[in-house]
Parts: sequence; structure tokens; C-alpha cells
Amino acid sequence: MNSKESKAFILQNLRSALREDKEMSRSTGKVFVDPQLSIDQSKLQNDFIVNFEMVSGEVHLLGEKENLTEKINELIRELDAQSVSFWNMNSLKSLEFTSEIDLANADIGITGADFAIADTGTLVLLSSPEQPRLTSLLPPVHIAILEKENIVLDIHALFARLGKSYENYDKLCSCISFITGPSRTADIELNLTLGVHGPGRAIVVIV
Amino acid sequence: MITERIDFKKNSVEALGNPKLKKALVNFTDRSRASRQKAVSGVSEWEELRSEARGIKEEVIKNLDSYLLELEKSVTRLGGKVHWAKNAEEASAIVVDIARKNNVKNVVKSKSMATEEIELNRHLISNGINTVETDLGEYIVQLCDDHPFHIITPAIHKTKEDISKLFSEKFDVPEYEDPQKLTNIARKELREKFLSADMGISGVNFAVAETGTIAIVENEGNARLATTFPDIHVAIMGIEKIVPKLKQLSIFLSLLARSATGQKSSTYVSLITGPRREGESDGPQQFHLVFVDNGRSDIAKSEETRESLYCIRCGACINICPVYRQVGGHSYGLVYSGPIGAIITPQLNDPQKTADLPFASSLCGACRDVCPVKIDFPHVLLSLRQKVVEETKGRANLQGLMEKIAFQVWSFVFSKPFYYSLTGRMMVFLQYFYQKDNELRGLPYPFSKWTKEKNFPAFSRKPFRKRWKEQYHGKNGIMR
Repeated sequence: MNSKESKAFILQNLRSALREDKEMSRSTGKVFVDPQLSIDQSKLQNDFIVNFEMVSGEVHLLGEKENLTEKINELIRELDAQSVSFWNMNSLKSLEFTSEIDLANADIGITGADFAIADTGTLVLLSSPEQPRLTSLLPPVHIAILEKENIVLDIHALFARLGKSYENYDKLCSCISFITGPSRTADIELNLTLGVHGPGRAIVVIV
Repeated sequence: MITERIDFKKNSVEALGNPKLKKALVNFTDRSRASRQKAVSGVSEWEELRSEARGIKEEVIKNLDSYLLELEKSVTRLGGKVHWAKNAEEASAIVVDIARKNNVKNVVKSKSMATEEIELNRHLISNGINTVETDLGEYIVQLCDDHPFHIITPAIHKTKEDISKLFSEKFDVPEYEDPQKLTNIARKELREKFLSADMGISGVNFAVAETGTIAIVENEGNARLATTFPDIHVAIMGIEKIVPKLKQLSIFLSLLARSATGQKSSTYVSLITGPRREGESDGPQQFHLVFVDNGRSDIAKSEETRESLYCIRCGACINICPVYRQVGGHSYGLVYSGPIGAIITPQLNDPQKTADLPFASSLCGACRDVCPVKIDFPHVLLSLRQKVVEETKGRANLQGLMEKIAFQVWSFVFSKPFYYSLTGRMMVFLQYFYQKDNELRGLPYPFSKWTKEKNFPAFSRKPFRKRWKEQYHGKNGIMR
């Protein structure tokens, strides 16, 4: 086995295959984001909630007078969790709990959500040293804190938004996770079951 | 590797004789089609998305050589490593080699058709490396030492009773029949495997040349675990999986989830760009990307069938196919089934041994209508049939000759009204001995080939043309 030789073989084969008609039927480059569309943020929020709940996700809206830390404390108590693991976020600094280091033993993982997509009910999480990937994945319950300004219309708008954040792709983060509800499978006679590998409950707190 | 000829007919007869399988197939295909239809009807720009995706794929395949080099550069820049494999054996050898060099003992795999295609598991296991499939369906299939039945739902041919018995035998648990309980058992078993794995292997749904990003789409979270937990991540991709720009992913992701499972979005989509960065606490230390050719660059050579490479493996063509609905996934011999199997398998393997597959279709075209990248399946199938006929010298045998004569007779009779109506009248007499309850049964050879499987409707004493005349022109030929 010689990877270099194979590389030459594959490239040669492709070039000989495609030499004759190089002139391209380029895609039209159509943009599916409508810039004229006036975005009604409260409609986006409602759509997100409807779609996230449709895939068995749970949504809590933080009331105007409610305190986020208090709300999270309350959720943790309700879930009767022994240990919690969470991202290093300002709003979680004064939680009643300390973040569990061993994620495999945590009952709940709490993260932020960098964006959300209204049209599909999807949370978008970007990885970084402060935002590990496993917090939203290993524990049986995932709670995500979402700021309502970060909800975008659809996946096309999301990529347009990402494009703005990542003018220079060297800075594209190592992992972008799209999360649409709890982990699911229909592999046994098409019966829907939750929590097969990832969290069985996905909870969003909208701020 | 394919060792013997795929006998589609024999396989189909076997499948047709299994009533349990038939029930599962009808239930499954009906539901998949309905949910896809519902999801697609919610997208007003669906047709535009299809055209756009098709255009992108056409351009990618025409310039695949330069896109592969661009992707290699992007991945290398991030600290990942690209490997080129010209065939299945080489691809597996590359993965085994990476495992050996890093002293890997336990591998977790997420679902990937490319790894099924190259039979990676067999190679890893024969080299003493524990390899576990972690997608629930694939895990079930692996535990029974079976093959996937469908590219999206591999264990759809297993009933929950089968699975309950299997789990009870393997894990020493009671025979639960509640799917949620069975799922929980699998979660526990597989979580252990993840925590002790030193290498994760995944497929690739899309690879972005511009950024070196790979997209992995799934519902369970096992691909996320396999690509995050172990120190080494090896991703295996057919060389056709490239998308030039990151933002173009939005088009393909929209099409894929709805076409595959009728979801607006799959539960998890991971866009992975290189190995773990400095300061991060999770993600793999090493990222390897294996380019698998295995016949694909040859497919690119044929203008007639090149579009086979546009496929994004959604399975919509399989779910809608009236042939698959009857005969199921195993009849197609290898990993890809349904219409996509009928066009891909013969092109990736020995055409002699796979010659049945291009004929495993009624050419109804339903697959073309649902395909998110508008692959013209009937066109490709006909082109492949032509090749088979040419290569086997017109199927130079009795059957070929008979077909030729039959079609000549048919075209003669059908082009002359006199002979047409004469034939119809003759049939009314000829069918006398075979007719029962207005159906023809047990006809002599060569018509027995038909009546062995099903009855043929009897020729009517009063032909349609006569009835038409009476209905619309009255008995005397006057228009009513």
C-alpha cells in the first residue's frame, strides 16, 4: 500500500475521465436567504418553541422578573440531580452547585446555545475551551440557555450568520453541533425511543 | 468484495416467501413515504433546492481532482491527515495501519455505508482489534452477524421479539419487549464501549473543500460520541462526498433530513473541522480522513452514468421503490439496495457478477421524482442494461432470442389494427382451456413464466373497442 501512488492513480483517472468537458454547468449560486424578509423576533421565538417541542424538546421561558440562576437552581432541584456539569458562563457562576469534572457521572449538563434555528427547532453550539462538546452529550439531561436574539429564521440564515462570524475560516471552531431535541432512534420496528446515546431530555431556557 | 454472482431473482423469491418480512416492509415503506411527503410539502422552495444541489454536484464531479486537492490542503492545514485509497482493501489497510501504529485495542464505529462497502469491520477484527457498531440498528445487525437491510434503518427486518430474544441471550437480561427498555439496555452496553474506546470511526455525509470541515448527520448521538470521546478519529469518505463551500451545506442539509427520514432536521448534525484545538478539553487529538475511490473515478468517466456519483445516500429512492417494497434490501446482494443499489453496485463491482441488478426495476421513475439531486435513475438503468447486453453478446442465449422474437411479433401485431383485433379474437378461443374465474392459469411455456407467479386476466369476449363504440356511439354507431 502506498498512499502517494494511490493519490496519483485517483487524480490521473479523474483527469482522464473529465478532460473532455471541463466547461462547467456551475450552480446558479442562488441564495436562499431573503434579505427583504422583515424578521419578527417574537414570531421566530414562537416558531422555535413549537418546533423544538414537536421533537420532544422542553422549553421554559424566563419571565421578565425571573432570575436565570434561580430558574436553573429550581430546574436542577426538580430533576433531583446529584451532580451537574456546566459551561463556564457568567450566568452560572452563582449556582448552588459546583460543576462536576467527571462528565460521565453527571446527571445534568448545562450549556449555552450560540444560535437557534426557528424553522427546525434546532440549537447550535460552537465548541471552544470554555464550551466543551461533551456537556451537551454525555449526561442524561441537557439544559441549554438561549438568548432570544440569537434565534434565526432557517438553516440558510444560520449559515449566512456563521459566514459573518467566520470571515477567516482559520478561525472556524473545531466542532459546530446542531441539536434538534433529545437523542432518538426508530431502529426497533420504527418505534420512537429517546435517549439511546445522547440525552433523553433536552430542555431549553429562553432568556 | 463480491465472490459470487448476485442472483436477484433467487433472492427475491426467498424474500417474497417470508410473510413477516413482507409486513415489515409494507409498514416501513408506507410510513417513510408519508413522512417524507409531509416534510417536503412544508418547503416552498423544494424544487429550487433540488436544482441547486444538482448543479453543485455536477460541478463538483467535473472538477473532482482539484476539489480533492483543495480538501486535502484544508485538512492538513488544520493538523489533520488525509489518506488516499484506490480500492477497498487499501482503505481498510490504511485504517488498520493507523490503529496498529497507535496501539489501538478498542474501536467504536458510527454508521457509515462506505465502511460497509469496504468491509472494514472484518479487517479490523481479523487484526485483533475489537470493533463495535454503535448505531442501534447496526449494533443489532452486528450482534446477529447479519447485514444491514436498509441504509437508514439497518435492522428494519428484525421484529422486537427477535431483538428482545437477542439481547436476553447476549446480555443476560429478561426478555423485555418494550422498545424503550431495549433501547436503555443498548445504551448501557454501548456507553461502556465508548468510555473504553481508543479510536472512533465515522463516515462523512459531506466534506467541505474550502474549510476541511466534515458534516455528520444522525439521530442517536453515537456519531457525536465516536468522534468526540476517543483520542483518534478516523473518518472514511467516498471521494464524491465533496461540497465546495461551507454555506452550501445549508442546501444539502435541508434536502437530506427531509428526504431520508421526513424530519425537518436530524437530531444531531456535527460540523467537525480538524482535531481538538489548544485548550479544549474534548475532541480527538488525531484526525484522519480517508478518501476512498473504489471504482468511483471510473464511474466519473461515463457521461451516461456519472450522475450516480451525485447521490447523498438519503434512501428516499429505496422507500418509494415498488420493487424494494416487495423484495427488501438483502435481494440486492451488497450494502446498497433499492434503485441506488441497482445503479451503484454494478458500477463499483464486477459487472458480470452484478448483471441482474440493472434489471431489478420496472423503470417507473418514482425514484427519479423523489431524488433530492434529481438522479435520472431510469436513464442510468437503461444505460447499464445496454452495457450488460453488449458485454454478454445480447445475452446470447435462448432467452435473448425469445425476447427478440417476442418483441418483433408484438410490434407487428400492435402496428396493424386488423391483426390486432384478429389476435384479440383468437385469444378468446385459445384461452378456453386455461380460463378459470375470468383469469388465466397454468399457461404453457414460455407463458408459464408469468402464470407460475400470478394469474393473468382473461381476454374479454367483448373487446374494449367494441364496448367503447357502444358506450359512446350507441349500438348503431350514432353518438349519444
